[in-house]
Amino acid sequence: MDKVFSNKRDIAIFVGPTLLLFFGIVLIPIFVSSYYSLLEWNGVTKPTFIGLDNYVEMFTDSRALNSMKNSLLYAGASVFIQLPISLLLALILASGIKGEGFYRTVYFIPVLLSTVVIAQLWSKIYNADYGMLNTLLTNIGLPHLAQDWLGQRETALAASFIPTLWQYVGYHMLLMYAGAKSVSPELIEAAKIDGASTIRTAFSIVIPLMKPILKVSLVFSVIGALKIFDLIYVLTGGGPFFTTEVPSTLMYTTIFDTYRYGYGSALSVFIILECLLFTVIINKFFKTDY
Amino acid sequence: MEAAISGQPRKSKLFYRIGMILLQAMLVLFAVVQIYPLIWLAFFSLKDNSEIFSGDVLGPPKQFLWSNYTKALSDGNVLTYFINSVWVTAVTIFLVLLLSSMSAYAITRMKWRFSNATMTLILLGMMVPIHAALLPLFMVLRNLKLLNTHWALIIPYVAFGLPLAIFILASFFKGVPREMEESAVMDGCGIYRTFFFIVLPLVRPALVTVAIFTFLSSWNELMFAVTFINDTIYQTLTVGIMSMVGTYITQWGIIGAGLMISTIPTIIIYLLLNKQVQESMIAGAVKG
Amino acid sequence: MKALFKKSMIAVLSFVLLISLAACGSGSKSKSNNAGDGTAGGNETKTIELTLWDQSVGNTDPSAKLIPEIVETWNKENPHIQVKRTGTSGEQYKTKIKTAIAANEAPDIFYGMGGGSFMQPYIENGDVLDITDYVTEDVKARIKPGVIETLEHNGRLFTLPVYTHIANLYINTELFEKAGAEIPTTYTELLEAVAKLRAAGITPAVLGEKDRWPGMYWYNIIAMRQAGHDAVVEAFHDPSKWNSPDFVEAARKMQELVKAGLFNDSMFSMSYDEMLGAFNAGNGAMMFQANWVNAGIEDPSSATKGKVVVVPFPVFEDGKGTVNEFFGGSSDGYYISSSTKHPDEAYQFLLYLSEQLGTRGFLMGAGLPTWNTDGLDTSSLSHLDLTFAELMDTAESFIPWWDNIFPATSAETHKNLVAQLLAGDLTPEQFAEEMSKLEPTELNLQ
Repeated sequence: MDKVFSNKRDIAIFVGPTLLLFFGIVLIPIFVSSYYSLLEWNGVTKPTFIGLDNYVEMFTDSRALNSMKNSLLYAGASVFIQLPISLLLALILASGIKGEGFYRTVYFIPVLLSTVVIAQLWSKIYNADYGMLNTLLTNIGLPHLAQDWLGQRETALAASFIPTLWQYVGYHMLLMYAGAKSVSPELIEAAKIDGASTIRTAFSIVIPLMKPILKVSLVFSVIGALKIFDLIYVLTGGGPFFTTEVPSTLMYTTIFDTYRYGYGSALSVFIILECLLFTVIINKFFKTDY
Repeated sequence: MEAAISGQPRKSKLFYRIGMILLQAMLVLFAVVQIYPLIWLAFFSLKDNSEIFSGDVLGPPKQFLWSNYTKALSDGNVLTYFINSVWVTAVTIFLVLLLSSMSAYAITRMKWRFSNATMTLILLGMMVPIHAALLPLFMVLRNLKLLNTHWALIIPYVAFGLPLAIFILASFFKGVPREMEESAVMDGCGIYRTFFFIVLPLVRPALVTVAIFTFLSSWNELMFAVTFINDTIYQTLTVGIMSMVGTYITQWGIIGAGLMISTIPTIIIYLLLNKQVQESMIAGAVKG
Repeated sequence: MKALFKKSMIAVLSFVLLISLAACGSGSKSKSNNAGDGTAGGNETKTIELTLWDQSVGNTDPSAKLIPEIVETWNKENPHIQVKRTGTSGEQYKTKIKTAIAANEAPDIFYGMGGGSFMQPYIENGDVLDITDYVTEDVKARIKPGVIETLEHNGRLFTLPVYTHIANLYINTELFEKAGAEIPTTYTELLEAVAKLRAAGITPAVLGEKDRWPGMYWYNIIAMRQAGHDAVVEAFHDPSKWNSPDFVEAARKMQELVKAGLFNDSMFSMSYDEMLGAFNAGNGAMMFQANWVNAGIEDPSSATKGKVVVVPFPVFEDGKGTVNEFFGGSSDGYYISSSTKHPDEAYQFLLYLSEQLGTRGFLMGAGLPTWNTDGLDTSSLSHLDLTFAELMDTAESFIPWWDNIFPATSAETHKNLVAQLLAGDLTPEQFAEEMSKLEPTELNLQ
């Protein structure tokens, strides 16, 4: 038996192509970025080697520190707000409720829409002059609550997070739904016969058995949060006054607007290391190797 | 006393009924919220600028401006873009499914020294911010003489799509009971037959899920598509749509129509794949 | 397995090393060969292919319609020099061209936003071809006087002019009449107009400050009116001058206008596109922008079509600037990569493209002419375009967009400072102090 599962040639065939592609396309940019991050380089003229100066600058620059803080806040919001909602929906739908297929299909729709569409939609919701949110507040007799959601420091950060949080609820729901569906119905049936309530069954049988997929969801959402770029960039561009800046938008403007390839690469290395750190922490939490 | 006992189930049944109705109402409400963006996009694509920038921004258009669609489609290359997107995405999905399922299986089931290290390494792929990878990747593709071909998109899409796929599949393979493979091997099936005919069908829902995610990320990708391709004959739909955004003046209704044109296939493909999820779930293929 | 793994690891690692060594190979390149080395007119036996990258796409951009036509005509007339064009939209174009140049894969001819922030590093590094010796007296004679000089870097030419764009004040006459306001010609009148428009419940001016450059335009013209053309040029070369009383006063006036309610409250979340949308829908009485917005205002879908006039920015009673000093210029153009294999043919095409665009584009309302337009039939031009042409005739001097003059990092800082000034985060004194820390420009400002 072991012979079959440890045949070296077979293993090489199974993982070889993936590793090859991976080394060529993913690892090289990481190596190269790490090298760039030690340079003061504008992407044009001769680079100067400056050692760890870019990293020193990153941790002393209030703009960079603020962007890191924002992405951590966003990761927190994903884990403690978005994922519980996704899990609840997945469990409800997986329990075989009427219209299960329909709901599962519809809830996923926002994930299908491209960033441009979602950004347009939310800018119409938030718009200070004619947006849906302000119109609604005015119509229900709360005109004093109408404000410039994306244009002022107090609300911009929360307002720019909500669209992405909302968009990906369906994404994690689909993952967790597949996980919940993999739990053997016999086990649930047995628990029911023993007189366990639906909620108890969920907590003591279904969720523990969904652990692998919950971990996948958790890792995806944390990594996704630390790398968040698209919607923030389109909705606020990191503004007003850098309040909504996250490491990846800062990295983008650093490289493409101010020609600082070295500093931008240092930021990207930071993002990679940060993601790695959190993945390790999550694995420790779940007591798994990967 | 007796009445109370016999009343108990009836009462809880009533509660259960009310709870169910409330739950359904909530689910329906959420469904409306989730489906509205699509309806909004349809409205948006039929408006003119003055309606888009004032008035009832989320409601239906006063008059349906079908000319937005004719203008969006008048770009003679839309069909080319579309075919390119379909081809690139299809090849990407196929390669991701094949490579990710094989390597995820090797990592979770086969016995070799570096399996855990490999998994950690592969996860790195999800952590790379692609804007920083753009220049190094450009150089790699240039040195491989692949710039300005379909492979310039397929290869990065596959490479960056693999980590997510492997991660999802590995977690599902873990749930597959070893007995099935072992009995298959006992019956004299080789590892390949065991894998392709016994194991893969067991994780069909996961494969379809991976296909959906891979489809989305490559279909909507813009940055690589802009940077690695110069010729119209290889350009994809996202780039085509973005070209409609004027440099100085923008007619948003036409862009809306373009977005709609690129979203419809997404919805159709999703619904088809979704049916697959449905069927494989009903078949109860996955046994805990 | 182990041996195989080791071997492949070694192969991969050496590959990585090679790549990373090659990656930084875009140091200084040797200057290209002198003019006249190649055989002009192209080799009759071989077909040459040139690549052109531009950012003129979109169905309402007049250049977007023209460039394919121009390329097609050129390809018909020059069967031995075939041009292949790639058009990419603005934000993506930036990423694409910068990545390509950094990797030494620049196209033969490409569009470059003029001045310091975009092109300066490439010009200094010799990435673009010096075309000074190509530009004959005959060509210079076809270009409007004074234009060529504004394009020179240390006396050398790298591009030819295409259009001139200048920024002026757009006035929605209907809204002004409704409020009983007069079109302002002085600072005092501007404040009066703002008060009247506000009283009538009309937003005096729309500003899309989310993109930061529209607000910068306002500060730039106010500073030019306050300190005058020469003082601004001087400050660009000696940044300590930004911290002089006139520039502090300009910042004070900017804040005074904001406090008076000149702009929409939503300015910090309004994008440039939304600003145009709002102005064209009649939701603001004024807008300070350049003539590339004309086509949108005159578009059949625009509610303000025919109701908009354009006037020079008001002068200040206590300012040194005059009504004949303009904000704008013709700094955007096409550049030839110094790594091109066919510099002579590339220049021929550059000349053809720039002149064709500059003249035919003018007739389509893409921008003001920088080439002689004698004998052209201007009947196709809109009222706004004609007004701009008349204003141009009164021009005595130009200062281009400031974010194109400053080096890249300073350009970004400048835009951010103006945003903070608009929000009231900085006092005029603090603003001027921060401005004096910016880098000097190396552009040849007149």
